[in-house]
Amino acid sequence: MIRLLFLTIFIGSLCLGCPIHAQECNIHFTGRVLDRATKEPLEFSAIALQESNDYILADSVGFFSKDSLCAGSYHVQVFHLGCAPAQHFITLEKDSSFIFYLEHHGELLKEVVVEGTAQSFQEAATHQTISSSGIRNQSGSTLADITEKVAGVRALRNGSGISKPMIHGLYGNRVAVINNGLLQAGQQWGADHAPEIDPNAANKITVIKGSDAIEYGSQALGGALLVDAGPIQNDPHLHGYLGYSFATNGLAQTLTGMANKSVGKFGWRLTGTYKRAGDHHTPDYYLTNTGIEELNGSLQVIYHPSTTVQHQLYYSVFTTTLGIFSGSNISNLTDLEDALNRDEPFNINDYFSYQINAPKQKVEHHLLKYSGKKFINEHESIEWIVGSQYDHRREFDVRRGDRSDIPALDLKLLAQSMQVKYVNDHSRLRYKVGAQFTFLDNTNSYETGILPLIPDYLKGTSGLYALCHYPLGKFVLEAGARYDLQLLKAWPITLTLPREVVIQQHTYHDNAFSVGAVYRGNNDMESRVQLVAAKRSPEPNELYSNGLHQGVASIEEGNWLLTPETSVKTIFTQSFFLENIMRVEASIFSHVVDDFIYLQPSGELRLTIRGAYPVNTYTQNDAWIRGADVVFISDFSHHLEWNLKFSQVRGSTLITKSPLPLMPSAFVSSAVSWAFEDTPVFRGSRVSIEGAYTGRQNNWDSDVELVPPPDDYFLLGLKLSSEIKIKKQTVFVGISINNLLNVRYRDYLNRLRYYSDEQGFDGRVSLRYTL
Amino acid sequence: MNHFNLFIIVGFVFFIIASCDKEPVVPNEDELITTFIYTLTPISGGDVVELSFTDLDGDGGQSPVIVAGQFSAESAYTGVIQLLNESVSPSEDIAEEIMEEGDEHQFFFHVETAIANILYTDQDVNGNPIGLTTTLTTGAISDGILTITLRHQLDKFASDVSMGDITNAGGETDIEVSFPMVIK
Repeated sequence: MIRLLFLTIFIGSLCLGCPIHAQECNIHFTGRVLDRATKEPLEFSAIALQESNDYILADSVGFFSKDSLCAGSYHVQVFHLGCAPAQHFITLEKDSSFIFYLEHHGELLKEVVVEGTAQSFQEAATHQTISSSGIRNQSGSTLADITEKVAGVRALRNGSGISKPMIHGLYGNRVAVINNGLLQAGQQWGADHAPEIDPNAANKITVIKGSDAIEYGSQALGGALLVDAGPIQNDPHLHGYLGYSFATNGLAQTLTGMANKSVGKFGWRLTGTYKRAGDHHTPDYYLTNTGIEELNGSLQVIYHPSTTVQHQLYYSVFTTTLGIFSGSNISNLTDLEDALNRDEPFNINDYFSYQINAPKQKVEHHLLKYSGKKFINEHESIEWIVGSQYDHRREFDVRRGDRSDIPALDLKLLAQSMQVKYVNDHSRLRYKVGAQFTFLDNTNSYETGILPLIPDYLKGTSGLYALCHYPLGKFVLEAGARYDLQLLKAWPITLTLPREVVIQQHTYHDNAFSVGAVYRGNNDMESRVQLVAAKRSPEPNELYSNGLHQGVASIEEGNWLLTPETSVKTIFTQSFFLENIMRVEASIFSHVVDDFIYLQPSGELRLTIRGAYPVNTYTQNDAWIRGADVVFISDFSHHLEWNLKFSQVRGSTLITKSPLPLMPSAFVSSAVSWAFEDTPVFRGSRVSIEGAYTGRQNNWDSDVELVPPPDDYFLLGLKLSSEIKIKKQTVFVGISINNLLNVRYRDYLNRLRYYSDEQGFDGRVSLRYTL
Repeated sequence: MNHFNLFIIVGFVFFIIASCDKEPVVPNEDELITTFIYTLTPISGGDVVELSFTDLDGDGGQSPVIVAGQFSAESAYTGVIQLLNESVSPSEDIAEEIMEEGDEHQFFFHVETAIANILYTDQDVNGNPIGLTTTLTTGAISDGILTITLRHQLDKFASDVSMGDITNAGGETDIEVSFPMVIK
């Protein structure tokens, strides 16, 4: 059974049948093709065996069978109308049965996990997964752009190149980004700090909105985003791809590559990305200084000395230089008012350039980890991770003298973590327990010549957690608990003269509890309810940040007296299926946060030599965030699919009922796609047209917002993709157009909405050659 | 595992952090402008007027100190702006830096309700004004507010900017200080 578990893990398919002795060239090969997300059969799929030149057709419920195959290893390709083809490498020694999964509605629906498989622990999870093909087909996009495809996830932007994911209205310190098992240690507190992750190095991105987040610590109060390199296919041949994409807006070019191979007990994978973009363009003018240059790479080595043990070494590097739109480079309130009243921003050029000048950000992130997994027996396993991360962030401003080359903010963050997890699914009660230890060391460079925005600090966290579930008839019950001890030591510098370094120390006890239940009807409906109570202690930026935010003309001040916030989130999800006709998944959530920490104008107008600035301080107030996500998919025929997505979030303080800032407005999108019949040359061809409507944020606080939120807007997009097979080579070709109608609009979740319109028409061509 | 072991495992992070120390260095804030002084000397003799804005600890901390002055009606003054960083010792002359980068900087003078006229008397390499030296001519007895703005990386060739009109200047504000102006 352990070997079978590995089969599932390594090649994504599961051996079902009990083998019986077979002669050479007398092997019976059977199986089924299923949708990975919904586990529904994919009718009339095709299975091609490269070595024997066999082409097997599955029946109307996804079953296939083939007799008289010779023993040996085969490269298997699985095709289904409108799905990205899947590649596997299998070894046939005896009669075998496999389940092959294809991505169909992957990113739209949560993953249904079949009882009794290795991943059965995610039973009651509210997961949405974006597969490798979903990631690759959007090469050149940021992590937040890719995750935005999931209902309930939006991107908080700072111009064209900087975006960070927002889950159910929360982001930054409240959304844990887990990079290959480790909590991403970047400067995630800043609204203009994008996660330092290259999505092209990932094989799978998972969005967690509910109680599973307990495994990832108190920062996962609003949800978690898991980015994984995934397993390496057990294939002794060199496989990989080389991709290139070009976008007309910003003349962005992205080159990505991946290569992997298994050699005996070893497997390795290498990825690399180079991206370059220049000034982006609104329908009317260039967004000067919005270029990007990014160079990333990763190396993964897996070693499995036996079928029950696996060791893995993973290293990734991410480096980026991002320009900040020059028209947002203003100073005080007077400047801001001037900028708000202009049709066309200040400081823009009437020509395109790849040049990136100050203000700009330069970020470098390294991650090195060793992890291992051991199956103690059929039902018990233990996993461990040891990892280090180094994050170096430099932000450059326009400064006097030659100081524009000296960063105005220069932060080095060093993180060490250790984790261990034990999983047991022996009895009906399945459980996992784990412990996590993290050390963070944040250091400012004094060479900036500017008082640091956040102080030097050391932070240590040790956490213990346990999750379990228990099937009971048509129900599955789940529960979880977590405790974290945190110690924070910070060294802020006084604002008065003489400047002095003060030592501040805080101890926090964070805990979290969750309960949930799933009810599964007769394969055509499912209800789940989850309740998570969690506590999050304030982060260093909320306690100590101090400085001027020139882009928004305000002074931001931390508050030493903040206490942890306590939240209770309830999610109810209802799914209906009508096989081969439609699927609906609707969820509603309510999130009450006591002592919610947020930035609020203090009413003080502070006079400085650069003029007057309003002061915003971190305050606490009881808050209530609630909303709904709905996904509807209808397969009219084998060829035609229609989907509809809707999400709405509302956030306000509990007692005064004043709206919380930066809550996403209503969002509806709908796409119609047509899948073409495969031909010998064109496979998996698809064309789709998508319309997306973003409502105006009508719930806003006139004391907080500098200007009313921008108007609602409607965008139209078009996509065309196909895999072209020429002789034995396969090339993926994708064409996509965003903002087809070149609409002039601004978005409430973009911090630069005060200064400029959003990007106009953008045509993208992607080519990918598969090895 | 007994409770004591558990306590040690959870607590060891605590002890490591508690025993670690960092020694941050206070940055040398050499770019800061702490002191603005506009000295106006009457051409035909009389009392020198000195307008000053001093904020030794920069943004935050103590509030700035503003000293205003009294002007004589119908008089001409020569004005000189001094900019200092007094947070470092010895203090630094920032006006010198502005002078060196004259083509990237310009002062703007705005007088509200009081009757006064200010003309530039200096030039950058392109022949555009900087505003470190000026002449100020007062009119009839009146009072109002004088606002002086220093812009960095502005468009000095934009229309009316060289005439002292800030409307089309753009750029980033390095200084914006206001003084009550009394003409007697």
